[in-house]
Amino acid sequence: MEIGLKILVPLIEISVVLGIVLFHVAYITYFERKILSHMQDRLGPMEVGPHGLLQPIADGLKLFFKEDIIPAGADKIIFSIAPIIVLVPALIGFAVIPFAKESITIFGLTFKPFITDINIGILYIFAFASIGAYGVILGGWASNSKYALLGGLRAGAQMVSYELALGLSIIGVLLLSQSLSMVQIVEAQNRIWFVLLQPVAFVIYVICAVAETNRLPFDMPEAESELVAGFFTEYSGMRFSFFFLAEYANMILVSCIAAILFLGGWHAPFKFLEFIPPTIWFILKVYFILFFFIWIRGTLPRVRYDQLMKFGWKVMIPLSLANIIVTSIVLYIVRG
Amino acid sequence: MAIPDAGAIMERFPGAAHENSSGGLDVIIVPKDKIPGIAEFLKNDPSQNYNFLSDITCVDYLNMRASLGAFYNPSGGGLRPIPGHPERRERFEIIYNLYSIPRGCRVFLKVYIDDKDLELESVTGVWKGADWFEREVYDMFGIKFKNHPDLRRILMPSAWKGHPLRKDYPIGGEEVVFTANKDTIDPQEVDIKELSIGDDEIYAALMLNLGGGTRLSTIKGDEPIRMDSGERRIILNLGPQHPSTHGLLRLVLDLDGERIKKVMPIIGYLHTGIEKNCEQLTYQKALTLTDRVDYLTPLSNNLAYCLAVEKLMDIDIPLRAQYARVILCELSRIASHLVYLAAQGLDVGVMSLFFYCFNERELIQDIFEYISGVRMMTSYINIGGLRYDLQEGFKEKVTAFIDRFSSKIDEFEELLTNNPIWIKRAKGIGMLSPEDAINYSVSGPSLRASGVNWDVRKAAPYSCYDHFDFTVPLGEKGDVFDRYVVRIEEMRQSLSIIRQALAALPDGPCRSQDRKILTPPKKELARSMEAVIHHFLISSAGFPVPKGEAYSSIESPRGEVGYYVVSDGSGKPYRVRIRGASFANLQAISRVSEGFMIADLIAIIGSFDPVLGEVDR
Repeated sequence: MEIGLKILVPLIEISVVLGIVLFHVAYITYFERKILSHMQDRLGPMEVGPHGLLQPIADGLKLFFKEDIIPAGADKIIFSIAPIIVLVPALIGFAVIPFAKESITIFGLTFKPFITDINIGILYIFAFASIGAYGVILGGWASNSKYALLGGLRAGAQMVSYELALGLSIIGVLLLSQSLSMVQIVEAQNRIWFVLLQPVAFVIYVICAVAETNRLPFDMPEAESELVAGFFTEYSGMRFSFFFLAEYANMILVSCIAAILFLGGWHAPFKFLEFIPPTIWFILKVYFILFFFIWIRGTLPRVRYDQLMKFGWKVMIPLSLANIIVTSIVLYIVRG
Repeated sequence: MAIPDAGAIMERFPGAAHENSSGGLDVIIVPKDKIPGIAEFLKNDPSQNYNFLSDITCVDYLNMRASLGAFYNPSGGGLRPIPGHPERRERFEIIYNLYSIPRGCRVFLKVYIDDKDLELESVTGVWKGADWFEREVYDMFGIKFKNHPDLRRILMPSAWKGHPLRKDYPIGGEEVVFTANKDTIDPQEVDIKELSIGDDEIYAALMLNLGGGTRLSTIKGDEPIRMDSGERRIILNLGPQHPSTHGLLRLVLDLDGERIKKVMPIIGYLHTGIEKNCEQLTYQKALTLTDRVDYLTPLSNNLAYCLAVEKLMDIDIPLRAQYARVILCELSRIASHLVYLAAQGLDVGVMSLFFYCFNERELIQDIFEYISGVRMMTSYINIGGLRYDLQEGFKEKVTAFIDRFSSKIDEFEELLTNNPIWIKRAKGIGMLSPEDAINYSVSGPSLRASGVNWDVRKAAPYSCYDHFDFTVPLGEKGDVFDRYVVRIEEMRQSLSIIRQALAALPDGPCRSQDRKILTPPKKELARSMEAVIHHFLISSAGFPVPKGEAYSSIESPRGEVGYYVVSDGSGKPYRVRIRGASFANLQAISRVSEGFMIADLIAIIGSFDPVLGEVDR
């Protein structure tokens, strides 16, 4: 009985978190389309359900029933597993994201507001996120198409270089919170959010996050005006939707991390606003960052591939290194 | 108007003759062997300075001679001489259309070519832009240009039999080779020498992908060509189905990583034989085809065609129609530049701009629909004026639009002009020097972005453009950014022209009252037999146009659009040659994009704003 419960509770937690995440992944596509449409003087999806609210479901069903085409010249095994290699790391990161503070008790069972709180939470996420790059490169390579290959190569180079800056940008936060555990990082922001203490790091993080998730203005790997669809040009049906889901899951993941590391996680911005449940605050913050992502997609042109690499190596990485040094010195002086 | 120094040419090149044609063209008839020499002289001699090759085309006089009593003798001897022109026995007439940008004058060289000896010296050594023009003449008439670097078919599939614009080419029943049916159609042998081009690798890549009935095996026995050159590079096929080639344009890229070593444009996917079709229709009906040439600015093409026919018929156009034509053409210039801006934005990833621009363009289309009942292919500008008078309320609608658009244009500019990412993407990319631009026959905003001040509206005002006050915006470097700035500024100038023309729009008829071209009014039909006959003739056989030839060029949003119309005196044009601005402009793409990256190439294509309908016709 004890053992059964020990297995049952995490299983329920996992399925709830996965369910919620996938629901949001589906609906972030809807929000993106709606927000972009309204920015662009049009309505966006309106047909399926009221104001097109059921559009993501219709899209999902459509993709599910589409013919699954594997090009004749493709490497079949790698072509098939590449989407999985991309999607799994994107979802697995949510295991350590804390959505709230207090546990919930239902029917005598205690559910934590996160799947697990390992003491290297943030490292765990980054470690898995890097695996996603393999999927992209493999997918591009296995398609046996020049467009996909170029897209895959671009993606590989881009993700590797921006992961560096991304990793370096959060070290300031880690120095402040003195922990790698997501829960403890949030709790360390009880009094003041790290975005106020680490504004440079926040900016670097957001820029790198955009690049890391391959979104405009850094959507080189799938620049549709140049490479048709980049690394997933040859994909169709479910496999295509795996890449698609992964992209949006990654977007939510990096937004969650930003909310946790810089925007105080589930904390309310002011004391008198604490009557609003912490989970709502967390979701609001995540959606604020997601909105920002969509907003810049509606505004900015795409940079060129070599400009992107130059920007990553010559601006972002030196800046984040400088941020680490300054933070360390200040902390040394303040904390003695 | 005679060219000032025709005497100098005839003195230098004995055998050349000067002739004023009925349509008011300045023509110099040049002996066949003298053409490269005279071309060189006309281009480089400071007193001539014909630096811009506007067009090269050809007319097949087979039928015209027949209708004049001469007949074609296939067993040799060419054509019987035409009465009154004893010297002309040759079947083909090649026409070189030269323009001097510094002097602002135009001259036509004519070379007569006989059926038996279809070879002519190429002028690609004098003007780079001659390349595609000569290829088209070869493709359509089968005239071979000696020393041409790459004489292949350009619009028709490479395995096509015959030369469609020849008068004895059978019409109808051709089996068109597509990828789907190429196995059922007997693949025709392709002459290797005819197809051979400079770079073997690209050639091979090209042939590998070529669907049109050409088999790789036809190149070298049954051995497929291998592409091991030891170099590490990618041959990438971009288009014809690609999101950002602006239509059915195909480019074969030779890449070193993502850097472009060579670009080879392949066109003809949208070739619909408009020039040939025009010959089968009456002048009035052929007008509707000109809409389809450049589908982003149909009215400009209407105008260019009408101007040529009106020159032949010598009709006076009422002032109201002239002003209305200016307003309409400038509106469609704005509409076309909006599509350019939208597409250029999309090319570099600014999706929002695309929708903003199309919103505004929609309003212009609404105006067109309001006055003509049709949104795009209006055929509203007609021979003799406009098809019918402007609708009541036209002025108010246009005024409302220009008032709204003047502020919108600043908003659009805000999105791009000072955007650091756009500046990085556009400045210093795809530079075209003024010399190259002229040499490649580039015209329009793309030419002016390089700093060459040539706008047909200013240089040879048509349709009362000289009544209006406007400036011609110029660029400096000729890069993607300059081409963008020039077009934005042109929209502002267009607004100013529209404003002036609206204020001065006179009352009166909107079409010439010449009963030769007008169908009789309804009330006469009930009473007069002559009116019924006249009505019937105009509707079926068309109104006759006096024999002769005329050329008219206008400044379309993409550059010089010219119509060369030859009439044999009947109700149908004998030959309509369309000088598409995009066709010439597109040649320069391979020149300017070498050494840049794929992403730049996309921006460069967009910056030339090609319309493939106009390229392929």
